[in-house]
Amino acid sequence: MIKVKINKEITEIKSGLTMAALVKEMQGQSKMECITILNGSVVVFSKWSETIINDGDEIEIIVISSGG
Amino acid sequence: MWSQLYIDCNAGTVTKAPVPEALREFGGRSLIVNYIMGLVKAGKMDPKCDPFGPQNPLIFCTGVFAGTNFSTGHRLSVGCKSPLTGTIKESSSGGMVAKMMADQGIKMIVAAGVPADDKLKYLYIGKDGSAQLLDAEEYRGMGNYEFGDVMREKYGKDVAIASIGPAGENKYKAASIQISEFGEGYPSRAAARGGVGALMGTKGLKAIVVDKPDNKYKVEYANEELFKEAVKETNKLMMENGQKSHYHKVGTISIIDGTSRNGILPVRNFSGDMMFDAGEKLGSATFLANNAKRGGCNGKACQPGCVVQCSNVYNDENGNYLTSGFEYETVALLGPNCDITDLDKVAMMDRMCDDIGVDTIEMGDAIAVAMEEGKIAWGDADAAMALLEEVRRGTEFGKILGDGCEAVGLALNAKRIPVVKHQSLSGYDPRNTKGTGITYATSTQGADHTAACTVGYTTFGDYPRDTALYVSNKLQVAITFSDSMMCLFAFSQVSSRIDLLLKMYVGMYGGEMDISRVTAGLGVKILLTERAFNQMAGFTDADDDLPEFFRTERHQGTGEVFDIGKLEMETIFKF
Ligand code: SF4
Repeated sequence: MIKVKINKEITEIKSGLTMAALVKEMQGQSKMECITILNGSVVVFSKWSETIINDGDEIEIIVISSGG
Repeated sequence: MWSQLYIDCNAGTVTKAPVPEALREFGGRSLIVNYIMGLVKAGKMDPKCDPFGPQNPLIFCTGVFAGTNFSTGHRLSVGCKSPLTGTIKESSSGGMVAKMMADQGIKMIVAAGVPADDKLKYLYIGKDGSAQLLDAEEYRGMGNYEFGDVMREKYGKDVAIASIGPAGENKYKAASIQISEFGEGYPSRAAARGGVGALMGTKGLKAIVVDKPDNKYKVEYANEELFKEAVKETNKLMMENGQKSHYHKVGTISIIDGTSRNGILPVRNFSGDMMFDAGEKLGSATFLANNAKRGGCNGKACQPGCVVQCSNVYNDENGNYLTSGFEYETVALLGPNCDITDLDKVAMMDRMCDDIGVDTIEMGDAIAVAMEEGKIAWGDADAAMALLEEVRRGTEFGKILGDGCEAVGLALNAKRIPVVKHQSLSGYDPRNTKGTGITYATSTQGADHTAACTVGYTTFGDYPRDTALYVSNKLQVAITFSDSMMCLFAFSQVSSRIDLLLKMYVGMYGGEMDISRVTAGLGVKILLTERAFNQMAGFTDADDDLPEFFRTERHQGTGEVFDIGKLEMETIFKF
């Protein structure tokens, strides 16, 4: 297990998780689309599967809705 | 007591009077429909009237909580019978004008009649509260950016400005009214939809310029303590949720990250194709990276006191200001819907639209139709900008484009024209967000996502058929009452606490602590009154539908069609 911050909360997750796997785990059954920010930089969707989460990382998973 | 300014455009006079008692508890969308229906009942306005004729008033008003410290309580609503749709119209905007009106103690400004001559004027409300109509002939043809600079030079940096560009002066039906935003005063906020700028041009009004008053108006409360207690809690909740949201963290541009992968993003005139890389080329990553390199910003407030702060400034590659208030709808429609994936080019088009004073949604849809019909090539951003310049110059095609998507489609004999009640669809393909499709079809305002975009409310994407109807119905009511109170994006942060909004309302206006005053009084009743106006104007259930191609052409990415039946949709307003 590794310790990371997800949306400002310190959380323990399995080591070796990718961003894609983390998002899936966080979302559960929800179909909500989101953006992900890793240590201050947006991780684009096409890189989710190859981005490995490391110990001490700060991650933001932000749900998106509609706009004007 | 709140005041109203009445501009008699025919006589060229301005008078100030207290707001009539019957309108006291209304603001924003609810005030507009009640004012207009008051004229109809008094026999002064026929709902079938020519929108460009003397019976149609142009109303600028503040919301029910204007003048208080309620975060986002200073939206400006602009209302009339729409020159574009022929329906009732409330087009709202952030920026500084509503705040400055409230500081002046002005709840509404009504421009009535049409001028006897074709002289252009502007309304100036001075520091002492005096209001004068002044000659604006020397500013004729001036873009909104230059006009703002000239006014700030003349009156100082504190003035708030609502102005029209060449499109409004020429009465084009897609003309917007641009509103100066908090801070630098860029004219990048807009009451964009429904051609309200065309009506302002018809009234011979180049602008309303509101100066900072020497004596700030003091709001009267029925129960100040109750209001303060509720507003403190509401602002806190809005801050907690808002600052965690995509609105604050990136801005509405982030929405393209999601819509590009689930088929909601319109691509090449709602062709139903997917554009998976649009999220990366035009979305959060590119936008934030460019801002970091070039010195732009996000997380900015368009009006003082907003704690959600979804606005932004976007600079060019040399670090010079290019545009601001750069939103998802603009990027989606002038971008992928026109097969354009260069964020800088889209930003340049946004700047041009704001300067000329035209709705970016209407332009994005209209240019895409022109591209589909071979007028210019798909993806040719420079050619698209040349077309926008034609609107500014008023060439033959520029006049057609200035009248919006339907006008372009009809002129080019297009088969696929994405409009409902003559207004073009915004950045959500209704085949993949059926709740939003129902809203487009049934809204009292024409195809309008702000009337109830169901994306993200329970799931991002599709709803089962019956749920889509339910969600659109509930949300159309909720948005209607929130349109009298606050910014839509702020409402989504506090929508679970309508009780707090009611407490504020009672604290402000007194009366019973009864939730139906908000949900029914400012929600259902307003929606039904707007619908009644539209029916008197000649609209029927037959007008509540999407263009046929959304029912017959399958979306390439998801295989979906819009399959909510007409009869099913007619149940939407059964409360
Ligand atoms: S949330 Fe955005 S649009 Fe709404 S008031 Fe704040 S900055 Fe303006």
